[in-house]
Amino acid sequence: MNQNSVIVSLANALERTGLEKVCVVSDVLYKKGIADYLGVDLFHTTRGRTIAFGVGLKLGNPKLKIIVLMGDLVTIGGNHFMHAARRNIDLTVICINNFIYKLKNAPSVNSVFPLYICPEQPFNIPHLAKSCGAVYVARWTALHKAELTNSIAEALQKQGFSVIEAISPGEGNFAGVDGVASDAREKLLKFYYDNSEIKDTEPTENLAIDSDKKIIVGKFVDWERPTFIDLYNNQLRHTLGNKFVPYE
Amino acid sequence: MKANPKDVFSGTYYIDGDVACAYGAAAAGCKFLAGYPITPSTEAAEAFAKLAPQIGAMFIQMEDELGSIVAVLGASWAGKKSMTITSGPGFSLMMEGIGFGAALETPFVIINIQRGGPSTGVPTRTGQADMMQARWGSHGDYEIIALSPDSPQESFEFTIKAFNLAERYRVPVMLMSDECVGHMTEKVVIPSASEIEVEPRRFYHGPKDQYLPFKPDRDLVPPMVKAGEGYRLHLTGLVHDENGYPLLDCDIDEVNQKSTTRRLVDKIRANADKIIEIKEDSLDDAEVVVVSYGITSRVALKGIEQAREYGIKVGSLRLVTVWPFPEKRITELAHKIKGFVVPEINYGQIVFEVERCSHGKANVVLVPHGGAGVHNPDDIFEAIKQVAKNKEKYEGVVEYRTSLERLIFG
Amino acid sequence: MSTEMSKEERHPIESWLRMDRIPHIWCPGCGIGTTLTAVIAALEKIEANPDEVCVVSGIGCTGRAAGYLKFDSFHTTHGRAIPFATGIKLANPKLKVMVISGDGDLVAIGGNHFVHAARRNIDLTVICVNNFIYAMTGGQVAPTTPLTAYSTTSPYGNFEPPANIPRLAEAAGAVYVARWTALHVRRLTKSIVEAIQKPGFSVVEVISPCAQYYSRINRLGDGLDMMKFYHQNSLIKHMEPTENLDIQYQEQIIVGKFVDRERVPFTELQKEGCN
Repeated sequence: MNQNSVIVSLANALERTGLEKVCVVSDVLYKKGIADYLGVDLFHTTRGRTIAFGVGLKLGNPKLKIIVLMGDLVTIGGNHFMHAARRNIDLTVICINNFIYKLKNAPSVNSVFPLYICPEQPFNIPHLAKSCGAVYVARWTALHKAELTNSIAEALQKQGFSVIEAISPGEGNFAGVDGVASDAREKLLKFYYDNSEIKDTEPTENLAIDSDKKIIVGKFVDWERPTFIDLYNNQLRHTLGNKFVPYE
Repeated sequence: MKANPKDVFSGTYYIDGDVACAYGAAAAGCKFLAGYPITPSTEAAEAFAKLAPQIGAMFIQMEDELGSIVAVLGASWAGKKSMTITSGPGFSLMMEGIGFGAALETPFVIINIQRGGPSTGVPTRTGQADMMQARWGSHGDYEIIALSPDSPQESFEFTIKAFNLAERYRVPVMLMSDECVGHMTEKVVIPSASEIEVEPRRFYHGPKDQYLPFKPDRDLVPPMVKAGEGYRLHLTGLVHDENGYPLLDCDIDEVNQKSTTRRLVDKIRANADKIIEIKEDSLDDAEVVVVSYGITSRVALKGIEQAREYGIKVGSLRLVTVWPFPEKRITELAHKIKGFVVPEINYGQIVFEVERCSHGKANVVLVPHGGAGVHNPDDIFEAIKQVAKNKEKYEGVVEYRTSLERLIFG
Repeated sequence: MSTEMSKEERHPIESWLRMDRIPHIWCPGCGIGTTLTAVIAALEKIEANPDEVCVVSGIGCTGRAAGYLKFDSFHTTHGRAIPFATGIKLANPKLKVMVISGDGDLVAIGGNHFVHAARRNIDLTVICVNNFIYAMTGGQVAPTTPLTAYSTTSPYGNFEPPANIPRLAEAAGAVYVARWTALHVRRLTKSIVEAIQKPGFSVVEVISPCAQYYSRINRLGDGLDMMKFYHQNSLIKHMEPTENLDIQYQEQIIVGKFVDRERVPFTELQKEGCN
């Protein structure tokens, strides 16, 4: 019930879209055999540098389809996230968010999650992605498996910088003193069921995750914009005229 | 194999060292440059940005050096020859990426146009104080190759050589130029494509399911593949075995027998004789040998000339490859001569390698320099005289001090 | 005749400047000097205690600002002005900490630090001087360079969509965001006064001419021509939604105060979290 559900959704989406030449870049460690299971080339980079590595792979061979699995969200890799979104490099970024957030009134959850008070506001990733220029932004929890698979399939077929935030705290993060409760998985699913709401039309400013409100999920942004390589080719064609040779 | 004529801009040019590096990279077949502007290396990125559409290459100015080095690794694994260009502060930022590239055995080139340091230092003037950092900068065990040109013509040629070495040994290669050479404008002759040797990437052509990314075949170097060809690569910076999979148990036997870290170091050490290149002059009967690299070797020529006129038998040993260091040659010479003189634009870096390899058999005198300029050849001449005169052996590295310093400080 | 100047003959802001380093290195026609004067005028207006003001700047033309101001000023490494300032503020919350740096330093290499400091709402005042280019290193393209503009590393015209600094600051959580040009000196001073007095992360962007690189490479004239352009083409529109604030090449620039909201500053959050 943590990133494995994301891998399963990813595998289903890849099968559905039938894409070839797919590479996955991740800073989360996966068991061996994932590359074969998904049918991809898997690169495990240093923390936070997944998007920069993906940019290099994509610009090195524009025919590749690159999927980035970010475990570090936008802490170390924040700069690369912002600038790759601005440039609209054709990447599909799945942010695996297993945060620890400020809980105030959640009695049904206390038995599973201890009270961690984090003094800082977590990032509102959909709002940041939209403001930087991402062309597709969605958020789902581990409960919404089918919707997550749909979103990943849509994002893979889209040209440009797509961001999908997958909220999936693992029960291991929230073990109590005696270890993880045996019915933790059911409690987690119930927690998502009670506390999330699908609202596609919500403006991204209101999507901050806070203990006072429900987690809003859905597909928030879906528009078209020329990608980095399209912009590059267009500008050069405009300037060089006859001497222009498109990149790849 | 010969260079692609479309990549080579043959002719006679009057350009500076930075721009010559860009032309050299183009001639070597580099198709990707990710960089970040930093004085004094910006001219190289600007020249490559202009060339890029004409040779089918991609130039991207990343948001910082951390992104630049990792994007270079990505492009290398996508199949393109790639490089980045930076200077001192950017070099420090790239260290994590260099270690990562060395662990993954990714071939790429970094051009470091050294400047005065430390920290922000003297951006517009020369220095040679990154030489040890090139070798030991990132954490952990790995080996790299470093070259040091002394003119724009050599900047052009050594960039091609750097790409060839990177592809042959699947290792990061650093071109340790400096601001003086980078901003020096001189005649550069770019020959026709048929006269330039370019090493192609060695790809694997066997059955797909039997491919092991880190299993060496020739010279302890494994053949490479590209991403997206159906090999189902799994690459990680964690300590890994021949398959590329990380060693999850990491007990002592597993790490020492299965990990590839030993081979990362061995492949350069075992092939050191093929990699090392030095330029020697009049070493047969020399009493004193001047060991130098980069721009300092040109300055030392004058000092050596003065010393020869004075009557001292001086030889010169110029390091083309600074790393791996020519240990055997230094040890061999140490038995025959009175001493080494090592001028460097820093307060002592390569001199300690010379001292280590001489095993106490010859004296070693350092002629340091604070940077922001080059040596005064008279200082090198005086140091040579000092070594030639001295009959006794002294311990350790002795710093040459100018007569003014000796007057003031005693 | 005495060669020492009497009090009336000195320039009024001299006591805030390191006069032994004047004349400064900035080019004729540059807007950074004007910005510094506005900062000093703002500090004078609020009667700040110069012993309690810290100025931190990064690398670049604007980064040299710390070297001319007579406070505890720090000229840090490239892009790391904001973390340095965060450290100062958290170690001694009584100090007024200002970050004066350029667009490349704050939004390119320092972009991550910018966004995280805004998210945490650290009490800093950030003055970002935006001249659309990397001037100190010789005129390379910056993340804020408008589309189709020329620079030394975009020799065929820039094709990357530029960053919109007010939008980025707002999305990350800044409490006060304003933009003025180097021409609007009085309004800029007023904005800086408001930004300093507001607790939390405040950003004031100053659009400045770069006579030596941006306007020369793009044949736009010199500093004075750029100021005339700002005079004719800037439009004051307070509280305009930040997604409309993109700057196109040689088109209208919208200036004003765009964000002025309340959020709990970091120091309060920390105390609450520790309890």
